[in-house]
Formats: sequence, structure tokens, C-alpha cells
Amino acid sequence: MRLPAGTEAYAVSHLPSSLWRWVILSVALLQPLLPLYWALVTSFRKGSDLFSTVPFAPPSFENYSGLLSNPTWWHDAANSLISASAVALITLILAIPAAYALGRMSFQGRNTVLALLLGCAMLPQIAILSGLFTVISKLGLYNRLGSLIFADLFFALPFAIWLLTGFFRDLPRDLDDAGRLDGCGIMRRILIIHLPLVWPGLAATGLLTFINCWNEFLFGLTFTLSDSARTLPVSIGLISAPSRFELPFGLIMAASLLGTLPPILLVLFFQRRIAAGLTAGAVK
Amino acid sequence: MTVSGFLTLKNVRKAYHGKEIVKDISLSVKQGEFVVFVGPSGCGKSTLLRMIAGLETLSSGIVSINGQEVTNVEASKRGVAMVFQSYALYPHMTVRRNMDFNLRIAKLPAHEIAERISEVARILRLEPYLECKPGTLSGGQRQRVAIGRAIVRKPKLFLFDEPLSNLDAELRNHMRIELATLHRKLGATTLYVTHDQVEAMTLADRIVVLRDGDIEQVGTPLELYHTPRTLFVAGFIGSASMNFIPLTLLKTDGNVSHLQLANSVTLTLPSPLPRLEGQIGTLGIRPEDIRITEGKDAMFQGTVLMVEHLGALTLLHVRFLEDITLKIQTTGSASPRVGEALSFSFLPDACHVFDQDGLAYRADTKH
Ligand SMILES: Nc1ncnc2c1ncn2[C@@H]1O[C@H](COP(=O)(O)OP(=O)(O)OP(=O)(O)O)[C@@H](O)[C@H]1O
Ligand SMILES: [Mg+2]
Repeated sequence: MRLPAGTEAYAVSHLPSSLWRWVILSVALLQPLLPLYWALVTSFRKGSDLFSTVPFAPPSFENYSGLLSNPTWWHDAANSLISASAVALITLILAIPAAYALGRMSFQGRNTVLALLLGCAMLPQIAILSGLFTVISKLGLYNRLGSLIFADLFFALPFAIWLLTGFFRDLPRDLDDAGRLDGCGIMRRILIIHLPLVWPGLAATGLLTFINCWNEFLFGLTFTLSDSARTLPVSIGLISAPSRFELPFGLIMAASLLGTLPPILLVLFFQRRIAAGLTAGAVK
Repeated sequence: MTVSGFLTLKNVRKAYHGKEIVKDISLSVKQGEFVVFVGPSGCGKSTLLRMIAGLETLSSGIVSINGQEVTNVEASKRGVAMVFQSYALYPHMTVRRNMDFNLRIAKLPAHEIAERISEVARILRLEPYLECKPGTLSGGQRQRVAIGRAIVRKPKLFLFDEPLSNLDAELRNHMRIELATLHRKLGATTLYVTHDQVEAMTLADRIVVLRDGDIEQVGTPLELYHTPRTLFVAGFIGSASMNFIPLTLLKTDGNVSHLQLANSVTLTLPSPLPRLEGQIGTLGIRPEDIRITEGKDAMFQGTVLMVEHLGALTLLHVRFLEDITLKIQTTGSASPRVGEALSFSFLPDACHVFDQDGLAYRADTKH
């Protein structure tokens, strides 16, 4: 909600404002950062050090070096990268024409389709798990990366179409008309006029899809059996210790932190471009 | 089929979901003519223009351009160019790319494209901005790019849909004069939609007044101003709109008619109105056709309600009879004050008489 300018300053002015601000800020920061801090500290500890209360100890890089020198880890990471990239790419390729039609053409049943899409994207994963399992076995995709790509598309595609529809819909109609008068057919209008304008939307959608698939756990766990098609989240979930009285928290934390690095780097890389693209499109 | 004008519309209709937006419009436009469409919001001006451009299909009727029927011809093959209210420039292309986009699609030779662009850029003074994106330009510059994009194509027909309505008053005046100059230079047939009285009156060779998807009247600006055919046109044309007073015709006596205004005062007009005798109707008089007079020459009396100084002109709002507010336009510097009594007269020749149906009285029209 947007308050008229000045309202906020007025409301806070008769409280000890700086104190309140600090309290709220600290709570808001501690809540997400504390677990992260704990993860970070744990990832640099070994064995019994885990339970030490000393806040700062000389870090041990054993967890990280163990992971990075383990070929299975790299293999799993590659699986994650391949499946998430494939899903993001296929999603964009299929979602663009669908969203274009839904956003820019009027036909009967358009709103029904949009509602259905949103419904599909909201379905809990578990609801379609057994059905998907049957289909995937029949298709011979079980225990292959293809099964993950296939399953992830079920959620990624409706969501992406729904997101992109909004971007396409907001493009002014006059641009279409200008394109038609200039002699552009529909393919050329999409490729030369519309796609460059919704490019921030495409990047954001692709990025979200990639991150969702990168972090996907349930399908990965259900549709794969052996190391060959295992993805990072599953592999982290399956980390176990030599002895069953010990949970290797340090290793798990190190693996989790390493696993979140690629999405963070991607977001940082695209963030400025997306923002730049959004403002460059503003006309009028 | 015989085609008279350069652009001919024959019984053009458009309906959306069974609702008629454009109703049976027929119109012929001569080569080189500048025709302005005016009408209230939602009366179908844009729809009509878009049908001529080929951006909208017709429900029925025929459009022909330059002797060829184009009713079902694609927009880009009609030889028309359109300038949109929102400019509709491609935001991600430079000014040059915006202007040469259709030339490159039409695969013109590179040297010809370059020549045309530099000529248009010179005419519209866009040379310094050719490599800029539209987002960095001012409103007037963007509008010039949009116009430039239209004229590089050397179209047979220009269509403008309220091209200046996003500009501020000063820039609008400036661009209006540029458009008039450009039209004189290029001589292309032009259809122009506007809300603006001044644009319509100054640019048009002919004005088409639309109302609810139908043509109300077509004529030169002065024809519409002096002999509006209906109450609607009379009220629509003219920047301070015409005053309307209910009337009853008492009798026609030789060459003069005696009217009663608002059931009280009488007025004598120097023209016979035999057809209306005994009927009620409306008297129309423009604010500029009422004279403030002193002494016993004055026909009527009123009380000043409001004074609007418009610079060279002053617009008075005057309470007349029981409940009529008259607008009176004066040029005099000594203006009356609010609450003062005022004597004035109507110029008898400038009075318009409309019958019960809102049609202007013409001596030659018979019922
Ligand atoms: N695609 C469409 N579907 C349904 N109705 C439409 C469509 N386009 C226009 N209309 C309707 O047609 C009518 C005329 O619209 P149009 O844009 O031609 O009016 P206009 O005279 O240009 O008005 P303005 O001066 O406000 O631009 C409007 O009532 C509008 O709601
Ligand atoms: Mg319009």
C-alpha cells in the first residue's frame, strides 16, 4: 500500500524513532542471517568441534576440499546444471508462443486457460507424483535425467506462461499496429518488436525456472535410483556418516552452501541487466 | 464500380459483438485533401481510421484508395502511413532504425534508404538525434520521429489519430503549424482525427463531424461554422460553444418572423420561417455574435455572473431571463463587473433556428 508522502514520517515522529528502527532492523536481519551464520560456521568445523560453543575457531577446510575433490559431487552438480538448464530453455521456448497468444490475442476460453494454468502451477508436487511415476516408467525415463526434466516441466511451464502472459499483455497495441503497417508478419513482430521489449521478463522467468529446478528435491528423490542421474539436493540429502551415531553436519552445510552459490551468482549477474532492460523499455 | 475520389468509403460498417460502432459511412476524399474527423469520445473515429488503414476488418462496405478496392488488402500493402496518439515508436531501436524499419523490410537499396532518411531528417530537423533511442527524446521530438517514420514511406495517404494530444499547449501550436507546412510541401491526402477545435478549423480543407458512428455533417470549416446543419454540429464547432435558447415561433409576417424566447421576450428575425409557425424549437447564437449595446438600441438585459479574461478577448457569463446563462464574447477592454446589469443585442443575421428535431431551419427544406 502506498501512503501519501509524509504520513510515515508523521506516524513515527512521536516515538523514539531511532530506537524502534534499530530494533526492527535487527530482528529483520537476524531472522534470516542467523541460520546462515550457523551454516557457515558449521561448514568450517570437523567432528566434535561441531558442538563447541566457541564462536570463532580456526576454520578447517576439510569439508570443502573433500567435496571438491570428490568426482561424485561434480557429477551430481553437472546433473543439476544440465537438468535445470534444459528445463529453463525448453520452458522459455514453449512458453513464449503460448504466452504471446494468451497475452495479445483474444479468443474464446482465454481466461479459462489462464485460470487452469495458474491452478496447475499451484498444485502440490505430491499430488501428481504417483501419476507422473507411472508415465515416466512407461516412457522408459526412470532413473534418467530425462525423467526430472519431464517432471519439472509440469510445474515450470504453466508458471512461466502465466508470468510471461502479463509481460506480453502490457505491450501497447499501437506497437503491433505500427509493425503491421511497416510490413511485419506475425513472426517478425514477435522476434523483432516484442521479444526485445519483454527481454527482462524472459530473463526473470528463465532465472526463476532455473533456480526452482536447481533446488528441486522430491522429483529428484523419486525418479532416480543410482548415482548416474542424481542431482545436488538429493545427493546432499543422502549424505551420511560412516557411523550411524554421528550426523556429518559440517559436510552437509558445506555442500548446501556450495550448492546455493550458482543461483546466487546467476542472480547477481542478471540483476543489473534486468533492471537496465526494464527502464530502457519505458517510453512515454 | 465507379470511383470518384482518391479515397472512397462506401457504406462502411463496423460492429463489435453485435454493437454497431460505425454505421453506414460513405465519404469521398479528393487527392491532396486534408480531411479532419471530429466528434465526441467513443464515436468511432479511431475505429474508422483503423479500418481505412487496414488494421481492422470491415463488417461490411467498401474502401478504395486511388481507384483500387482495398477492403481486404493487408495494411502494409495499402500505401498508407499512420501516426498514432501514443507515437508507437519502437523503444529499442534508434531514431534512424525506427524510420528506416519499413524501408528495410521492403528491401529498398541501401543508398536510397540513406537518402530518404537524410531528407526527412532535414525536413523535420531530426539530424542530431538519428542515433538516439526514442526514450531520450522530448515529446515533440518523438512526435516528429513518428511523423518522419510515416513520410519516409512516401505514402499515398496519411492517417493521423490525435497526433498532438499528448503535447502541451505551446508545443501543440508549434507542431500544428509544422504539420500544415508539411502538408503544403508534400501535398499528400491526409485524414486527421482530433478533439481540438483549433486544429480542426485551421488544418482542415473539410471537416467530418461524427456522432455515434454516423456522419452528422461534412463541410469546410467555415460552412460548419456558419451553417451548421444540426444542433449537435452547432454546439460542437466553435471554441466557446454556441448559446441555445428555447423558442416558440409566433408568426411569420411577410419577410420577418416573430419569435418568443423562453416563453417571455420576443425577437424579430429578418427571415420568414413559415414551416415552423406555431412550433417550438431552439435559437442558437454564438458568443461572438452578441453585442453589448447601450441605451435604447439594446434588445435584452441580463446580469453578469462571471468574467473570464482570455487576453485579447473577454468571455462574459450572463444570466438572461429566468434560468438561461448566455456566453458573450467581447473585445472591449472596459469589462463589466460581476453583478452588474448588462444590455445587449443579438446580430439578427447570425441567429440560427433549429426545429424540434434539432435540424437547422432552411428556407428551401420542405417537410
Ligand atoms: N476491439 C474492440 N472491441 C470492442 N469494442 C471496441 C473495440 N475497439 C473499439 N471499441 C468500441 O468502439 C467505440 C468507438 O471506439 P473508438 O476508439 O473508435 O472511439 P474514438 O472516437 O476514437 O474515441 P476517442 O476520441 O476517445 O479516441 C468505443 O465505444 C469502444 O468501446
Ligand atoms: Mg480514438
